[in-house]
Amino acid sequence: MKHAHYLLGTLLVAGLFSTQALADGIRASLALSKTNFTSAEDIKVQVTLTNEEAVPVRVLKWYTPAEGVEEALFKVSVNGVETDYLGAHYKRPAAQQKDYIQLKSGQSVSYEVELSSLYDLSKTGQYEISYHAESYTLFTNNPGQDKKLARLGITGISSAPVSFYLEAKQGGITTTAKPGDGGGTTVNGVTFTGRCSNTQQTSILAGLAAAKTMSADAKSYLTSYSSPSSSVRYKTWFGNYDAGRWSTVRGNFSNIDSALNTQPLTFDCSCKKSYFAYVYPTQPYKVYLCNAFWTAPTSGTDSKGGTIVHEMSHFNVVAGTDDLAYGHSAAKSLAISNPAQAVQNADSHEYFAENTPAQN
Amino acid sequence: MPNAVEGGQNSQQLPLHCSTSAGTEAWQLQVQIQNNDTSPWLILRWHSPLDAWFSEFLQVSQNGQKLLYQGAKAKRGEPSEEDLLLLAPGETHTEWLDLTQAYQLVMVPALVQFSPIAVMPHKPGQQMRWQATQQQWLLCPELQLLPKSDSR
Repeated sequence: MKHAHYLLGTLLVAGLFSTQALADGIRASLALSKTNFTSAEDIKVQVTLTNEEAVPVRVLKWYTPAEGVEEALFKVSVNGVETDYLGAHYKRPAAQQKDYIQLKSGQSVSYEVELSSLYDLSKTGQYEISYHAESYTLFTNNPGQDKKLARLGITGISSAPVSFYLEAKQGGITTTAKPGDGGGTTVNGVTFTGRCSNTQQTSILAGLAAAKTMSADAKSYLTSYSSPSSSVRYKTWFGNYDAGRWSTVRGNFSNIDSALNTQPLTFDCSCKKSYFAYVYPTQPYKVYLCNAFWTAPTSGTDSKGGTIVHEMSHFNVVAGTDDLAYGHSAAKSLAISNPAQAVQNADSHEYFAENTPAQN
Repeated sequence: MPNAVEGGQNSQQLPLHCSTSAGTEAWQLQVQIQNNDTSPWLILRWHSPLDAWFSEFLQVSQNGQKLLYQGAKAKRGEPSEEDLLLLAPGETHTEWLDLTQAYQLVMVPALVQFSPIAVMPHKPGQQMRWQATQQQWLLCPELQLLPKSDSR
C-alpha cells in the first residue's frame, strides 16, 4: 500500500509540470434527462462539478449554480449559432471568503438548472450547450492557490458539450429574439422578459387566450344585451343600472378587448411577491406576474385570464381603473354601496368578465 | 381610497396615532404610526405608506390639480402574514416616502393627502391573521410640502 501511495504522488507531481490534461482543476459535466424537447417543456440540465485536484479547491459561488444562475454560465448554440443569455449580470463587491464553496479532493456537487428561462430557446433546431465559467477570482481568494492554478493554465471551469433537439412554439411560427427590452423573447407579438421559463410562457399564452375570450364576451354582452336594466350579471358587479355607467363599462371592455388583440404585450416573470400581478398604469402594455398568478386556474374566478383583464384595465390609456375593493365579496358589496366606484374598480371588471358562476 | 370591506368601523377613539411631517430633502416626507395601546395592533400594508409604490395610497396635488400617480397597482388575494405589520404596545413605526419616485412635481407647494390605513387589534400570542370584520380605519393628517431648491 505504501508503494501505491508513493506512485500516486509521483504521478501528481508529474502532472503539475506537464499539461493541464493531468491536472484538471474543477471538472464540469452536464447531463440531460432526454434529447428531444418541445417548447411547452422546461429544459432541465444537471450540472456536476468535481474537484480533480489532490487538494481542496474553493470555487466562487457566483460562477456556479449554487444560488441560482447569476451569470452566463453556459455556452448555448442552435444549429451552430450562439444564442443570447437572457438572465442577469451582476455588479458585485470584491469576493469574500463567504462567497466561495469548498470542494474536497474528489468531491462532487450537482445542481439542476432550467435553461429556457435563461437563454433564448425560441428557435427550432439542434441545440448544443456546454458549461463555461471564467473569472479572475474563480478559485479561492488565496493568492498561492490562484498562482498555482494559473501556472497550470487553469483559468476556468468547462464541460464537454451535450446536445438536444427542440421543437419551437406552435409548429414553427416565426419567433424572434428581441434584445433591448431586458433581453426578452417575442413569440407571436407577445414579449417575455424577466426569465419566463417555457412552462411559464405556455401558461401565460393560455391565460392570454382566456382573457381574449372573456373580454370579447364581455364587450359583446354590453353591446347587444337586450334589456340592460334587468341584467343580473351587470347588477352583481356594477350595481343598479344606469345608462351612463353602463356605457362607461362598455367603453372600458371595448378598450380592453382592443388592447389585448392589437397592442404589443409584454409579460415579465421576475416578481416574487405574493401578489397576482402588477402594472404601472402609465406604462402600457407591460404586465408583471407574481406568485399567485402561477397557481391560478386558466379561467374562472381569480384566474390567469381574469388577472390579465384586471391588469389591462389599470392602464390609463385603456380604462384607468383603481383597486378599490379586492375579492368577490368586497366587489359585490361595492356594487351595492357605491356603483360609481364599482365602475372604476379593476376586480369588478375582472369578475364581470370571468362571470363565474355564470349569470345572464 | 379605502377598501370597501363590510364591517369596518370608523373609530374616533383609536389608540393609534398617525403623524406626518416634511423630510429634510425635497419632496420627502415622514409618516409615523404610534401604538398608544396596552396591547398590539396589526397594520395592513396595502394601500398605506408601507406599500410604496404598489398602490395609489396618496393624493398629491399642486396648483389645485391632482398629480398623475406613476407607481404600480397590484392585484392581490387575501392578506397574508407578510402583508401585515405588528405594532407592539408603545411602539412607533416610521416610514419615509420620496414623492419623486411616483409623481412628477413642479416647484410650487404640494398638498399630500393620505388614504385611511386599515388596522385591527391583535391578541398577543395569536397567529397574525387579517379579519376584515375587525378592521378599523386610521386617519393620517394631510401635509403641505414646500419646494426646496437643489442649490448645493
